[in-house]
Amino acid sequence: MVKEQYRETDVAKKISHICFGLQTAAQMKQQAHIHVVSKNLYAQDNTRTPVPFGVLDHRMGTSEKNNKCDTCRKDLAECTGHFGYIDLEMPVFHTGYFRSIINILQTICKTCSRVLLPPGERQGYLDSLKRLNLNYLQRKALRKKITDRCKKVHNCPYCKIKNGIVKKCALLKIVHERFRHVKKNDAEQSEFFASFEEAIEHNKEIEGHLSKAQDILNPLIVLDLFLRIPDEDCPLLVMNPDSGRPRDLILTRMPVPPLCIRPSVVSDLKSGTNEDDITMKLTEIIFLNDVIKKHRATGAKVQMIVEDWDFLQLQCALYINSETSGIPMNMQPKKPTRGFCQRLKGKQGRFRGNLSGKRVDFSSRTVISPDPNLRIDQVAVPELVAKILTYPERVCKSNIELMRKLVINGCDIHPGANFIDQRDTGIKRYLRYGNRQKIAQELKFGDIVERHLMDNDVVLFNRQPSLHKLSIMAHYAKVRPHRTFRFNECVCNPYNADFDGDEMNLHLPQTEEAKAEAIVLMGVKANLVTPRNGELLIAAIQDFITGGYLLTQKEVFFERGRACQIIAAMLAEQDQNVLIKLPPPAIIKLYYSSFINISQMIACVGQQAISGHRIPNGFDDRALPHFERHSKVPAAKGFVQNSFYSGLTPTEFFFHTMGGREGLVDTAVKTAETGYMQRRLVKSLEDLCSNYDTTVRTSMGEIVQFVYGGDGLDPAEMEGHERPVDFHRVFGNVKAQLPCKEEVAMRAAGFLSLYEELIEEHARCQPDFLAEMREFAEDVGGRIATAEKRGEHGQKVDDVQSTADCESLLTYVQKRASTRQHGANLPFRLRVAFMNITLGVPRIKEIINASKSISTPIITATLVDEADPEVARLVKGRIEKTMLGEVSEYIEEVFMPDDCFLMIKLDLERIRLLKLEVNIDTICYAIYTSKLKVKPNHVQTHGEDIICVHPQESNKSPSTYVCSTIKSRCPMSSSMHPQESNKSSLYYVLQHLKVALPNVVIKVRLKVERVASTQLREFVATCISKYKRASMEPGTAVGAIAAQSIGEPGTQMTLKTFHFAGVASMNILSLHFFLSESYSRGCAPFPTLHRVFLQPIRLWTGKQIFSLILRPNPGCPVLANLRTKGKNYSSGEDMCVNDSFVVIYNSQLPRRAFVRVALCCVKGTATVSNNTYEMEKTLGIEAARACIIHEVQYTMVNHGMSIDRRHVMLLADLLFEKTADHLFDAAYHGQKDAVCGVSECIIMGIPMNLGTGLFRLLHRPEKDPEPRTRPLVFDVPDFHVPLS
Amino acid sequence: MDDDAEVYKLWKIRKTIMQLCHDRGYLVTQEELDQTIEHFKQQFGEKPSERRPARADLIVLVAHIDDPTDQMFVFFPEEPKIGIKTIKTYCQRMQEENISRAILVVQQGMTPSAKQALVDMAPKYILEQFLEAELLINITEHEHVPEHIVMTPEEKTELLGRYKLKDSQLPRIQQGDPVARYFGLKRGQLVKIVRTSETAGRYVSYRLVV
Repeated sequence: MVKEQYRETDVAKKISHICFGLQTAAQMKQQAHIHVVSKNLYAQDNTRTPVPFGVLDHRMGTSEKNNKCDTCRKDLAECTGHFGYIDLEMPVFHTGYFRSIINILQTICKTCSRVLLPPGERQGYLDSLKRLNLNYLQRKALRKKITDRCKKVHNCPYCKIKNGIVKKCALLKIVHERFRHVKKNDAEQSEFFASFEEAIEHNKEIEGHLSKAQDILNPLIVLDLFLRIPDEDCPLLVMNPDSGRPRDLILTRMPVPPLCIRPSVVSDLKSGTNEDDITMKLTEIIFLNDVIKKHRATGAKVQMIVEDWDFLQLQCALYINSETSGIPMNMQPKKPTRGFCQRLKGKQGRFRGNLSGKRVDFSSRTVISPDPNLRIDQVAVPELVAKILTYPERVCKSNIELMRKLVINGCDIHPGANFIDQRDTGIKRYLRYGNRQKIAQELKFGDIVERHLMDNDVVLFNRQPSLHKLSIMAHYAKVRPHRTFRFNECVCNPYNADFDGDEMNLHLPQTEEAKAEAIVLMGVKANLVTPRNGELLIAAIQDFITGGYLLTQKEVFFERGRACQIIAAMLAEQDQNVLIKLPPPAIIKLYYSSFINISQMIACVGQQAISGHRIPNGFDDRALPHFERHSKVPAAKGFVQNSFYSGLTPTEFFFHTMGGREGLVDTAVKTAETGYMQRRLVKSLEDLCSNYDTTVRTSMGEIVQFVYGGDGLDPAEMEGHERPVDFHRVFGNVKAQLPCKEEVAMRAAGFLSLYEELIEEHARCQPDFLAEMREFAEDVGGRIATAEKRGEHGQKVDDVQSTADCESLLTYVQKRASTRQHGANLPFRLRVAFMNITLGVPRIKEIINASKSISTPIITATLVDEADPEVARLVKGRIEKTMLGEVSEYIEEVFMPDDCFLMIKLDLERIRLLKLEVNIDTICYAIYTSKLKVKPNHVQTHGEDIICVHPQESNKSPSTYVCSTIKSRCPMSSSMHPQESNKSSLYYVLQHLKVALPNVVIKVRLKVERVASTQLREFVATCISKYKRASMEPGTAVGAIAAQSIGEPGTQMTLKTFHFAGVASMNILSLHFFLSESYSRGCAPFPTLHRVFLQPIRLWTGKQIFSLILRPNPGCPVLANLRTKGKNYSSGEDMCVNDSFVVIYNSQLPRRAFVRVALCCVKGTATVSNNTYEMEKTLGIEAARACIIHEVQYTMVNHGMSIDRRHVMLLADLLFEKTADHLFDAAYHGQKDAVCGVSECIIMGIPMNLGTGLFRLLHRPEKDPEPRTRPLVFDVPDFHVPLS
Repeated sequence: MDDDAEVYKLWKIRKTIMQLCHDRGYLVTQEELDQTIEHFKQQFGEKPSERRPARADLIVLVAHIDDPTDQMFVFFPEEPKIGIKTIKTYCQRMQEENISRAILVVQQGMTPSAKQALVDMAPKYILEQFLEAELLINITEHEHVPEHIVMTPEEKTELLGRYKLKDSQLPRIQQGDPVARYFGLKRGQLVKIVRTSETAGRYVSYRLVV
């Protein structure tokens, strides 16, 4: 079946944009077909005929199959419905615009309806509103600014009458406190009070309450005010006069929606019908209308009319939004109903449930189970499912025989077919009945057979929650018996699936194009790596690793037969004929488990916490009656001393359960929270897409990044850590694959010049990538040069280090282990003290919300005298030095009749353990390059661990001198060597060497390198091609991927907190900080500063530096004034830590004080806050961006999640462009939406501007495509017949 | 606050101001940019409590490199919170010397009416105000603040042409952004931002002042 192509040009009309606006009363009437007046639904004659002019009048469409619409005479399926209208007796507020109505009232004069801006400022605001490129948010901000300004005007500048505060006073009631700002005995106020005189005469009690008298602005008054707002003031209310005027915010008429959206259900069981909530509400409104009309006609009490009016107002509000809060008890509706707002919003609402969410056919769902015999890109589909899911296949020459067979098999035998669509007759025939043999014989080319799902059909496989793009992938189907979907358990990770009863969904694409696209883009093999950070996600897990571990244990030996069996089991399909060498043991570290889990099991469960505090007192002054009152000992406040292995005492167990429960509750709450967070992330980022000009833009063409991630590389293609190529790996791989044993190794100069030559062709690559590669090449060149210096060149390239690249399973395991390790060892300065619950989800939420006051603000101040890089390098050098003595088993003198020498035996095991990259050659080199005056030809090697050093006689005087002394002192030696005197000097040299040799520095990383030109060529080509492959493709939905990459681990985080249930902090080492915390609190009371920490950071050099961490009280934007002096600090406010004096005192600080940390000893230019908002205010938007990136990364890393920096960058770039849309607000402002966002396109059912939808013809024909419009006869005034 | 701290503060502030003038393209000698605290004490004295230096002594007048007639004042008012009167005196001085730009370094703040006065004089006399606390360090030197370069209108047109952009499609920076204020940016100007990125050595972005 071939998909029909999407053709834009086929449509005569296209929706260019959607305007939101207010409907005027006149428009409602225009649009409507009838005026609805009758409160009754049906005539009273049991025939269920709707009352004419009632809310169920058939002129508004039909909701029953057997009735036709009275307006268009179409039936249920055809008629789109028609509106009616109700005229309200009294105007009411529209509940959706209530906020806006109050806003307008605050902006205008309550007497003359002019906008309260002073004439001088008015023009300024009008000018700024006229600017064309104002976006929605800017307009909203301006509106707020104008309203705020007007609130401050107390005397109308035009009519000079007083204006006070307008506010909501009860449900849908507005009060105007006109005299709020006036002084006593104001003339206007007295006049106002005087108007009550008559009332006071009748009721004395009023006088006491007179001061509380205020104006109530009821809808009638407000409507009158709004009607008088002059047109020229409309822009100041930021309304678009074309799409709505203030008066339209108040309802005087209401549309009655068509019947088809509020169908009545005829029930057979009991007489009568079930009516929709909307219908019922409408009848109530009509009823109230009638009551008010009657009361007005009969001249009933004003009080009664007002009461009815209030009720009408409430019903109209409930009709629109049934979840209105604050309804007085006596007016509460009896049963909850569904208003229009409720129909629209929520997951099941119109937008998410029907417009953006579409239902599908050809889908299935069942329980999953594992099957390691399947390939990773296969899924076993039960036969039962396969017989129902069908694929329409067109009969052609090549498949007609098969199709005949399928048709004969029919519905019930598996490779069969359910329907056949004959092309010439156009009839669809069901194959369960009828003569299938005959149908099969009559099969023609071009017929369509709806055949069963068969092996190797492409299917989409999905598991909820679909948090990231790997939650739905394309597999090849494999039809199998039984009732579960089965797949290779390596694929569990991306789906986050296990087999404890999980169910999954399976969809069958219906066209060849869909199948091809699915397997290319969504295929399992195209998604082995997660775009989050380039790690492998589809890899061996669980038993695979156990098996791998057991197989590769050192002491595990297999017989030849068994080994071959294992290898044969690994090789399948096209690998069958591969020649392999047995891989060396590959597994270094296994079973990653968090430290907390292990330490809880073997050491100590730790302090239990409830909402960040120790266990509170549940009894009088104690947590449990097992302890003394007021006891503060660890055990009494929930410290669990035992481990899970040693077992918990009853009280400990109780405390642990208390803490554990919090974890459970947290998980439940946070899952919902992160789900929502992810949704918001995706919604705000989904429009972003990489373009052909390397920019990342929104659907409106606004630039978010000029180059994606700064380098335009795809995070999923990263080989190194956030870098496209891991040069070491590629180089090793090239050398292993192309041994070139016979080729002559290159010389260093030749190597570098060839490198230059090769790289010249690729000069257009990013300069920093080339620089990185050059650095590596120079490193290799250096190593070649080292070898050259030793005098070896012109040698053959030998396979020196045969790093056997073991393909298959073991590589996966290794790579996984190493990436994990890599991630864990990232050089982050961990601020360990605060690894409490406020990181994680709440922190991410704060960052995303750009909260102004964050719950745990932290500022890190770096001291000037911290790590000096020179010192650090020195230490590093020292650490790296290894002496020969450290790696040799023994150094012995050997005396032979004709010779004497030193024999050094290297301890190879030790060299391996220390991970020293030295071998016997490099050690020899080190020996003769040392200052020992040993020449290369005096050093011999035997095997790979024996070195013999032949001492040479030296003529230098000191040695002779010493020799003679030795000789005189120990006659033994001379007797042992009855040779010439210079021989004894030889003996001394031997002794001297023996002492000096162990101190010879074996330079580490003096790796010899021999490279053939073929290898270099291959290396450069591989690197460049990898780099090119790594660039981001135009059209990629980078935003959605970024959102998923951040949101998905967020969800994982909630799962993780569960494992730490009940434990106060993640790190037992953080004890130190609690000490310093209590210390600082004990000695210095800071009114604004909550806590000050001195944080030791241990650098990798072993050196310790200090930085200060100031923690203001949550929500307190003020930071401390901070400086260091060492002396003359005033008492009481100081703090002295270790030997560096840090004086901290607090003065009356301005808001942006944290820059003040700039004094003396603190590096102001490195002082940062973790409050994004504060960063933006103090250092600008770019610093805030950097802050967001750092904070998100930091939070994630703390939880063991690594995310590619590019995703976080994108998020940070977009965060400052928040959008908040709301239908009512959009209508108020007359907002226009050019349908181009992803969600909008899905709703409209048109291709979106992402992926393949990005590609389009940009050329515009030059000639005007608009045809000339001919004037119509009717347009010529001469032909008009005069109306007489 | 004692004298030491006060002098230190004044030195820091004046130094930042000098750097600010330099970065905006005004002529500042290298000597002034590198001034040490000792030098500062020699030049102005070290007893602020005895008005040595008084804040008025710190006043700066700089001329633009390209156009020497384009000059700018930097005033250091004595009052902690300045009112409209101070503004008036400064304006008078600017009028006398025919200078249209000035920076006020305010100790604690300004009265609302004084702020309004600044706005009212805007097209003719451009007065910008900074709090002393804001100038204690030069924020452009902060390790989290990347290099900002103000671009000429020609460069802006070229960029818009290259990416086929309208003004509104560029990333934005607010006029009130601390860095934008440091450079005295006006609406519609374009700044080039050179970030040192961890993924790609150097990454150039642009922001439009709104």
